[in-house]
Amino acid sequence: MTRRVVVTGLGLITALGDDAAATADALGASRSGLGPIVILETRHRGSFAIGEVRHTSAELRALAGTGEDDPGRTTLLGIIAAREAVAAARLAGFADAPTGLVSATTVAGMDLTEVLHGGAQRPEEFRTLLETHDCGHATERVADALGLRGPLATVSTACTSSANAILVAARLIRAGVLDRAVAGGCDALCRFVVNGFYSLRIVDPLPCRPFDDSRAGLTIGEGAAYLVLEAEQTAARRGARPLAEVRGWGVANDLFHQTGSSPEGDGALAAMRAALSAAGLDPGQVGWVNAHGTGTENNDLSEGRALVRLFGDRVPPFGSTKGATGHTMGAAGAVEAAISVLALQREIIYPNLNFSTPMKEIGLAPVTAPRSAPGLAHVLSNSLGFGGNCTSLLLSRV
Amino acid sequence: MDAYLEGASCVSAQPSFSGGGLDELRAPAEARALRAVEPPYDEFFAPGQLRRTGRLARMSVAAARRAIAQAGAAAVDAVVTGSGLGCFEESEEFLVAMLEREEQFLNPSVFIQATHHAASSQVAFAVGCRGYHVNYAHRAFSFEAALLDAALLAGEGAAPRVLVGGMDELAPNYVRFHERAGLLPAPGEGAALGEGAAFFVLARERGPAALARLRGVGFAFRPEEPGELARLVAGFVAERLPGGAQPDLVLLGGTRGTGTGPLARIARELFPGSARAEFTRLCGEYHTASAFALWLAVRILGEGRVPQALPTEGAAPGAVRSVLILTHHQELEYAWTLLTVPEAPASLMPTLPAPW
Repeated sequence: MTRRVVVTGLGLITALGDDAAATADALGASRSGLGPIVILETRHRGSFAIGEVRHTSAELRALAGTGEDDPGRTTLLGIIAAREAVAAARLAGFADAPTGLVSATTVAGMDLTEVLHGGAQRPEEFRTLLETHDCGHATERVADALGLRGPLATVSTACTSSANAILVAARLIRAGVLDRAVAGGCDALCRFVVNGFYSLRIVDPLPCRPFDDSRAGLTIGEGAAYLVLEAEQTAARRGARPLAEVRGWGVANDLFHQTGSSPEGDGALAAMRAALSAAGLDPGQVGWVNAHGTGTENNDLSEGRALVRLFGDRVPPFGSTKGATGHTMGAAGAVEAAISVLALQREIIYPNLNFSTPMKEIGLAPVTAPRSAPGLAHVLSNSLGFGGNCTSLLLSRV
Repeated sequence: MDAYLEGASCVSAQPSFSGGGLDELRAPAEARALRAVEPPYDEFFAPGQLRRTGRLARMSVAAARRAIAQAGAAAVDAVVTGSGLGCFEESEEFLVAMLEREEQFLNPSVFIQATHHAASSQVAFAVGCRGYHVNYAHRAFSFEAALLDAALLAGEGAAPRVLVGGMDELAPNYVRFHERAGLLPAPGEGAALGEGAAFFVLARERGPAALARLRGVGFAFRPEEPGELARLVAGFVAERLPGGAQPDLVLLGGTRGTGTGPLARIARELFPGSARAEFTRLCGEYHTASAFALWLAVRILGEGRVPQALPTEGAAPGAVRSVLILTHHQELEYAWTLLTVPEAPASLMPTLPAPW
């Protein structure tokens, strides 16, 4: 008997607000968190829109309760979201069932590294650089903040990172290796990553326009999200109310180009198909596709074609929430999985902002205003990334 | 857990890639940093390709393709990797340029090559695998997480052959930071920093190409010293080796060649009848050095003996049919892997036991 994996709590911090309710309320009111660069100190201020969490790192330290210690912005976002998830799941501790943490990041401690790199003088500063730079550091600090000593794993696969973290955690639970996992990811804005995307010339000066014919690139964002995943019986035993089920997932490699998706969306198609198949669902049962939809010319056309190939002339309501949150990089998979769970709970389909004209190649139009969706049962959430990775999660109502 | 390793290939500070036997291994020259012996790459890359490929990706692709060839596999169904630092050299290159040029005139190719999983992705591209592809990045847990994932994947049935690897590179700045931090051992004071890439083909079923049997992977984070760690490791071994047997060989990593620390102590206490050795004396310390250890264990099981170049303590090593790899990072993360000859008796437990 396959163990069902349910979501019993979630935590979320994005440009839309500090917790899940803030993000959900903003999405439901078609608000956007994108705007000019205000917090990050970079020469590119004024050059393009961005999706910053509206707090300085000092404010985040206060929110995260780390005191004088600065573990880095990525980690701070992770701590805040992970704590919310565990509290929402009403978990006082983890002694009742084998619990692990599967976290994801791509930026990790780079915001600290880029400051220490030229500036470090004393041995302690170099030790700090070495300690905080890598991905594992963020995960361990989140584990420590939660008081979790269970198994840890960190996934880093660019834009699919935290979607992969969620499915890895679900597989560990299915296999009986864990009964519970906190799964998700965190990524913060820093000069390194902003300059990286900018140098690729895929950043829209204006807030991104996913799936629009005039789209001109992505808007970089930051954030963190975690889901508390549990085996159905583990949740039931402690009287926890499931919010949703992680019912299926698919991972594929597009094998086209390290930074571009195949024109026909082969990888995205394979991942979506695999997720539906794993969930035992037909395409017609999908109520909403929470697309990757970054707003780049390449992604949206590729992903759009994959949608047409999969759904034919019955493409379900779909859209990208990146017009509201920005592309939260390694955290995107988890941010959007959390948004998908909120959609299932609130029976609403969230809008794809900044859209006016379908892509000329395929006449697809996303949902552009919040839409009441009573009975919304299955949401497909896509994450597509550098290196050809394509991941699709299927989340279902319970 | 039962899965079989059919191919094992490793680029390291040892002449591990050359395909020679255990007698080719040698105690490395005293140094603070051990660079890998890189193979001739023309077998694996067209000239234009090679120029555009970073060191970590080069080592990884070479080891990956050699492992697949050794396994005699036509293809693999999934690629799962672990890398503690990813492409650190490219990351440094982009960062230094960004700082020096004040965020102008930056090369996007370097940024792409700098993503943590860039080497892993290049492996997936090089071996033409459209299936499951995940990369782990967590210090001493990186490779073991990949190994556990690969074994679970094989067990799930959809991926009969999984390419699994562990790789890390030693960038000049990484060495410099360690030096400035006061963390670099003096030559001869202990194991140097190292680098390498080791790849394996993992199969669910035992076939004619099977080199070794993977019996399990275990982890502990912040174990309550010393009792909890010892109990976890002892229990893990007891569930997998019949009749209270001890592993013939215990390979220790993270101990910096000092033979001290909780891990070395536990190994002595739990396995007095085993031969014990610090494998990082051969390859240097790095987050995925346990991938080198796995390669070494496969070779040792194949030849049934411990190489001269690896000093052991404890019992004199006899015929080696089981190897336990035990590593740690900063005494916070501990990971262990048990490998036996392919024909070792079946698990005592009929179902997949939890690794801790």
